[in-house]
Amino acid sequence: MPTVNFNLDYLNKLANKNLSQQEIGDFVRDYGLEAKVGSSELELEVTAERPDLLAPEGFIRVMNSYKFGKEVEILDNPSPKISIRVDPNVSEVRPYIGAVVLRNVNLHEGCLEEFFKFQEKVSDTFGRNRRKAAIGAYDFSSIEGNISYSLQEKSKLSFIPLGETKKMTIQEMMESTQRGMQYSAIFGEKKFVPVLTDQTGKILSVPPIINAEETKLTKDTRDILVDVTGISKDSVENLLSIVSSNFLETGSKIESVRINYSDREIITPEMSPKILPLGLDKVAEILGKNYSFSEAKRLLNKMGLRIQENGSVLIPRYRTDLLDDSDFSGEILLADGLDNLLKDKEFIRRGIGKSNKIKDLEVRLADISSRIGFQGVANLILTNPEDLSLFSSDYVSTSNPKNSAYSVCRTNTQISLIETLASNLDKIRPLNIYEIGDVIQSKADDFPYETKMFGFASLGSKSSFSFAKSCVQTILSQLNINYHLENCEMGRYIPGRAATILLGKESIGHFGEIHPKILNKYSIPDPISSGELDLKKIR
Amino acid sequence: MELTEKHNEFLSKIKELGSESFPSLKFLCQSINFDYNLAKAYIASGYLDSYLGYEEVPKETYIPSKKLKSFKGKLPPLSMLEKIVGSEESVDVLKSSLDPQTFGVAYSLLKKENLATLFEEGSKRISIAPQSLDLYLKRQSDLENFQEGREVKDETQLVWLLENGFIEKKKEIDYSLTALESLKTFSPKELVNTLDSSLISSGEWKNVVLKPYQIDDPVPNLSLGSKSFMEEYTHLIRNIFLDMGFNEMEGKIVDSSFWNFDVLFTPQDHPARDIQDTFYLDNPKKLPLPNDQELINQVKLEHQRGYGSNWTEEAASKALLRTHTTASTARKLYELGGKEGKYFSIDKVFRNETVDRVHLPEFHQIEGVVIGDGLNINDLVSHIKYFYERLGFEDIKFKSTFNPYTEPSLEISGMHNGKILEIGNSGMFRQEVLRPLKYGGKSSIAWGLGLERLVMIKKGITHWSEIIGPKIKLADNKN
Repeated sequence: MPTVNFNLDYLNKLANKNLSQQEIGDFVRDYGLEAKVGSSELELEVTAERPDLLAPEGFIRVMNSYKFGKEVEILDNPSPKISIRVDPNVSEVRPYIGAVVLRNVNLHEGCLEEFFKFQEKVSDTFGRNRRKAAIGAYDFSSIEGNISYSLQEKSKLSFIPLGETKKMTIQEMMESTQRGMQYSAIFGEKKFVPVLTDQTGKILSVPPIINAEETKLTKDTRDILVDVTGISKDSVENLLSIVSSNFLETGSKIESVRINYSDREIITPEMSPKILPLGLDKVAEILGKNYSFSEAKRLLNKMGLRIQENGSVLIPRYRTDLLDDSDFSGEILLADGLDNLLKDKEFIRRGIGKSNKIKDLEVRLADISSRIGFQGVANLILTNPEDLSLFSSDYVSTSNPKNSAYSVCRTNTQISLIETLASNLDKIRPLNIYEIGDVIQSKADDFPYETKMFGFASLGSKSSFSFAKSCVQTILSQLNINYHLENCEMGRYIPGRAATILLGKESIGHFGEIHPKILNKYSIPDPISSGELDLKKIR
Repeated sequence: MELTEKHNEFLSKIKELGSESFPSLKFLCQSINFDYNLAKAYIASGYLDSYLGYEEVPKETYIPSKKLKSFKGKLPPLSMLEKIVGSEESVDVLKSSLDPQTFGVAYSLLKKENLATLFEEGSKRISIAPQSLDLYLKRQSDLENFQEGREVKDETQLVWLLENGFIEKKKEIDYSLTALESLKTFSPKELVNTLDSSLISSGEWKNVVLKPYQIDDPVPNLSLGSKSFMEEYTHLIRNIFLDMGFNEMEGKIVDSSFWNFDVLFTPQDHPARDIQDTFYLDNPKKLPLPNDQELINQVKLEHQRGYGSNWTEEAASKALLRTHTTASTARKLYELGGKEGKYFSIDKVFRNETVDRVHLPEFHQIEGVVIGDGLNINDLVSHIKYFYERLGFEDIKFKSTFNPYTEPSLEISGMHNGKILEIGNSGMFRQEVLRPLKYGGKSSIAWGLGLERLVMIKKGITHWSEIIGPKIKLADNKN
């Protein structure tokens, strides 16, 4: 979950108030957020569904309506002053773009820093590391005329990238600058990459990697062009609406931009609210409480939503997470507060549940095993391939483990039992342990065979085939299972000292003396006898 | 106190002698060939009090002196007298056949009793009184008797031997013994370590003594059979659910993204689906989607409607290790096809996390779900309160939170040992989840928590490796 840090002075400036740590903390808790409020900073955890809260402006907006009853404004779309021509060739690489011009911006007093933080954070999270959508911002006064969005050959065009002093090609930028190296993977080995240029042909940026130095924002910038490019139409549009709304909170004015695709024309940003119907019946069903229209209106207002007389909810574009009545129920629940909403209701027991037969067997086996003096242990399914290859050649393996010690799925419990014994060699023998746990046996391109295995192992000078046989015999007779034995040739056992347990023709398990090559591998100085029963097969 | 084998030997030998009193334990031991010091220890210990009476007898005895030992136990005059044939002998001859010291001592002693006279007849010679040899043979014989501890009747020689420093006095405590009546019936028994079946069935146990144990000697503990903590709690929680009328369900550990994410309305580019959080698989890479095109189309439709996203079957087919048991719940609901019910599971889930003290790459998730008509948030709360109270938590509280597949969603906290802890997550499934599973318009409540975290809270454990994994400390049967 992403975490953002807001400067408290900046929050106070936005709210035009002197908010105490206590006030902020109370609001955060009531609104269902996780945060730490420090003396100069608020550290807020934001879930993926609320990109609007990644900016201090968004945070103050919800606080204003929730805590101070400030109604959100219903916005209209302003008329466009400039246009961006989109070359059809971008459609294969990064097809969508939206833009806005922000006038009379004041970037002093922490605003510029907070904007950069937001730009980074939202592009990394909501924008999925800039691949899905990312924000670019330019000093509008450095741009001349209309803008063009097109693919250009990266070895041909040159510019001075942000933070650099000399001119270089896009290719060189990608190979030598920090941003270039960080984000050029988005385009892989492509020869042509998207570029924004103005009417003079000057490069404004190579989205979403880097801006040109010449277009960069400073604290004194008064007018800004913001673009959002990406591969998801909805994400591009929503993100642009969020940025535009944030600047509105700071007192800026916004101007639209006309986007000319080869086959259509759109105006961005979309600022007019999304309209969804509200079903108060459904809300009552979910929350167990009937809300009158006026109550619902008051509560939704508190959440920054407006209801029209016809029962429709007006949803600002920055709220991308509201889809239907269950979401409205969630909003009303937050606004009303759980204390007002929850009614004491007795849980009433009716009847006894039906248990799963394999889990029943687990309980019985744990009981029998502990009665015959075995200690139960619990191990992980994930293990390391080197040890597992002593037991199996085919197994389920993960493609992206953080640690190879937990990267493949065990096919048996004996591997875990032997490792447990190997970690307990300081104990007096015999050591008798068991585990009932999941194992997974691979099947090519299909769901693997998953089962619960009962495994046992005994370490000590008297741990022999006979001891293992006694264990199996005792346990299976407790379970009333008639079985017979056959010689077993599994590599983990000493040849001639192991048996397969058969129920009719089906193997339900095996036992024997563990092969010394395995004992050597774990530096175990005494014999181990061990065995396994497949619970799915003996149930 | 049971008698030892050696005790028995001592008593048996005394009994065989048939006497009733023994003036000296020392002589008794010599006669029965038993170690005197051991016998004294037996008397002093009181072990034999029921068979023998005794009294201390202080005694003076005599032992050979160092001086006598320097002459190898033989009186020097006797050594000289044995060299003299007849009544006289040349000094030179004697000096050459005896060492000078023996000669000197022998001569001076004989002279003292006027038994030897020195005279000159060309050379120096010694003449000896005729009774001398007999006298010294007697003295030597008496001396040897003392050494053997025999009684001496003629004390004159004793005085001479003492005065001349060939013997020394020594004080000693001896005992006089009296055989008590009980000794007559004493029967020595064989001492036995193990009571075996032949001793029991033959009745032979009556004739033996089972060797006593030192009760403070160390012994090992018994190896104690036990369930693991994880099992203990799994069984406990399972019983609570069954008692609440919930049926147990099972699912798959290796599953497709379809059941783990897509059915649960988690967008295909949601951060939770990132490789940072989810274990995707190399073997198998992909898994077949359900053989139900309508279901797939419905799921796709919900994603397109909800997120406007580009939903692909390819992304849904990616194989993974289940990240939550809700994947199994979704499978169960699909199988039920719209029927109401109450279900639970306690099964493994996986997170591709960096492993540390409290983070495991896999853990058990406990999940409860009720599906039917007219369930509301108060039903959710009442179920959860009841469940957690039975687990021993107090003061159960709720807080709004966010999950992609539930709305509303509530985080659960509760008090344990005076501390308020986050103990679970809950919510009501979204219609986007329920509709494709043929539960459109129905309502549900669901909650879940991690078993490992619960066990750690309950047992006051701070590192998971104390209860899970090979580093677990097995109970030791050392004392």
